[in-house]
Amino acid sequence: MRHVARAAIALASLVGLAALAWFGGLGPRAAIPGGVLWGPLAEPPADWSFTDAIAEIQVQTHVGPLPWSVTTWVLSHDGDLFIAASECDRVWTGRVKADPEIRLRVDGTLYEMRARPEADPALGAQLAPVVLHKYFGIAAEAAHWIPGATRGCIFRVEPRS
Amino acid sequence: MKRTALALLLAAACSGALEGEPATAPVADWSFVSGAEDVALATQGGRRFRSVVATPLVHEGDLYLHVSTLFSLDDGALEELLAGGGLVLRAGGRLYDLRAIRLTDAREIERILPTLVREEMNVEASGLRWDPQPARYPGTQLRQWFFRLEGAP
Repeated sequence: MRHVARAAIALASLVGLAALAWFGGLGPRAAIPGGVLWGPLAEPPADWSFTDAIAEIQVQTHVGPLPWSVTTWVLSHDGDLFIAASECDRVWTGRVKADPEIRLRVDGTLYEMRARPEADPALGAQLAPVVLHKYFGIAAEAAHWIPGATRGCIFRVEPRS
Repeated sequence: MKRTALALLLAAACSGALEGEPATAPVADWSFVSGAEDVALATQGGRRFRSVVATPLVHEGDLYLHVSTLFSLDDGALEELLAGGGLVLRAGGRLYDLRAIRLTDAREIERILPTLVREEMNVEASGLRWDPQPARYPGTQLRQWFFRLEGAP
């Protein structure tokens, strides 16, 4: 009986620690998702081109009882902000489609934002060269994703109001 | 070739030497690798790529390898490769002993970029130029290595 009680206490402690970490600001690490993003909150800037020098940002989605945050790529084009997923069947992309209100952490600063999927091929033709150059060091005069071949997706990210 | 990348990722979950029948004849045209369903790579010591994405590419019949990673994790297979170690490629049920020649010259890398972006990134592009440290995007690039693979003598 004593062993059962100890096991129950250990399990409860683990669950408590996990909840504390998840809700207390254990953000994502590399490919491992995390929970609530914490940090100083700022008003979204009008021009996001400063993110050209930032490889990855964190995105927290809001749907469901548990917060879910991930690290992902960030793109800017003409001062607008976009986030990208190499595969669109991820947990976070489904959550963003279900609830577009997200929280971004860019270089330690939080922004309350709204995201919407973009499927315009013309926009894709503008962003494909950005992906090639920014992440692969490949400059392209022109580039577009091959229709039907890519499994990725892009979201435009804008202020909530 | 997307299936090839997937096959390599799945293979990374396994360990040990590759299984297959050793190929005996030299290969002049590696195009068959693009359509093979069982493509896998290992070092000659039997190590698989674990923390990097390693994608074989066929360009004009020649075989290349693009290795990339987002993370700064060590990868034993990549270290072996960079130290001059050879590879074993499985394709179509056969095993090919290969030596890897690292590409560092921009012109050599640019030659395969159209195939790389089409096969690995699903992008059709023109006017491609290797620019590994662009001023506009300082320090945001993946770590990447390019190799030409040839049959081991």
